[in-house]
Amino acid sequence: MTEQQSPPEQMVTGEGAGERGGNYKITIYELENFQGRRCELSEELPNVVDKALEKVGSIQVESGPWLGFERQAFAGEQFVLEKGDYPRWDSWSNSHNSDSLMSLRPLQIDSPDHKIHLFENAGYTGRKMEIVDDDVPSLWAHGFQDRVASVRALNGTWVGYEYPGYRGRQHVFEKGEYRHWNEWDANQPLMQSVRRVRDQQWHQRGSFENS
Amino acid sequence: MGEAAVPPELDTFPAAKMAQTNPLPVPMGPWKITVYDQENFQGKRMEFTSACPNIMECGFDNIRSLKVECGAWVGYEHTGFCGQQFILERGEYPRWDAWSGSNAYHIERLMSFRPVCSANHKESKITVYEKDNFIGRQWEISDDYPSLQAMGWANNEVGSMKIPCGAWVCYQYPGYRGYQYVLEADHHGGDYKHWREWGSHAQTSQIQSIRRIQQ
Repeated sequence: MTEQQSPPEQMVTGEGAGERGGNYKITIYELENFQGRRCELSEELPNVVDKALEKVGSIQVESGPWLGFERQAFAGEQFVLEKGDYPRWDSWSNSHNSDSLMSLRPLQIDSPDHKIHLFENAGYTGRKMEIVDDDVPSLWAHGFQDRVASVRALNGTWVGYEYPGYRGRQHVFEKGEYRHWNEWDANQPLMQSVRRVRDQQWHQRGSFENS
Repeated sequence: MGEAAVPPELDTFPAAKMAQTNPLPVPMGPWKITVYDQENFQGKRMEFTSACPNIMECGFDNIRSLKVECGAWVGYEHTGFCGQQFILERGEYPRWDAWSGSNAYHIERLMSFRPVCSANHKESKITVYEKDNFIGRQWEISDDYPSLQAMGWANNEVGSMKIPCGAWVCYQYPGYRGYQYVLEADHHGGDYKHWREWGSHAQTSQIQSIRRIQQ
């Protein structure tokens, strides 16, 4: 894919600059269209019921990215929430079986660069595809098919999707190794599109405020 | 003005230049889509290499699954390339929610489709404007933006857009969700000066994510 550019020198802050090195702020509302009881968060919440919210009906991400989960304690289907407005459950979920979002946490961004290796088989074997600083709405178009069974996220935070064009169940890959698809809670090794998670807090290149 | 915006590589597709008046480009490229009238690639099937304005004329009551083998396509809720738009890139779509952006609208209908001739993942460019009629602050972008606001865009709207090359899909919500608007260099001369020009289903100027279409 694209050539990797050398990382900007000033981003060596990494570990020293606090656990996450970013600002996180999200407002969850009990009802659709930003109505009803509301709650502002700046750190993880294992159970929305703890904040006296029965459910989450709409969301505004003021500073992110965040990761929402179908069930409490960060379990079940994942929903990536980047800065913006989400007026109802179907604006973050592509699941036709659940409108529930019961826990949330900030999404870790480890560096300004993105590099990931996808493998056809578990244990980093079979055909391999490397993606550097790019998004791929169809793995098929690059000669890969619909099977991704292990993943190495070498840099950056990524999201994989069941269907092309970023549709269907989502799976987040924070920097790390995923030897088998059950490590990303999938029940089958089905993935047809993959993209980066970017936010100007870490990713200056391409941000509008530079212009 | 529109003519000048057409990139030179489109010369091989003379029909694409006429797309301003005729939304039915005659593709010469390697386009191929297989549609099925049942979910999971079952039932009646048919292969296409060019646009289909009305699937009922082929004896289908609806399309319930599909496989894109070559090229990028856009599907429509209604016949005659009207209603909600669904971008279709290479891959397998076993049921409607694999292409539809939003469950709430529950569009389980895909009645017409056509190739996106100008799709070009590597060479796409778009200029986004704060206000309609190409007014206000503007940025030229050539990368994907799953959240415009995460990268510093001021609000959840885009006023107008110009596309000198490639094809783009804009979405109502972050993360490529909600209503989809397919915008192409070889349609409208690449100029989309008001949200009413984004598609017959557009109701507001709300756009929170934008990406290139992959050929």
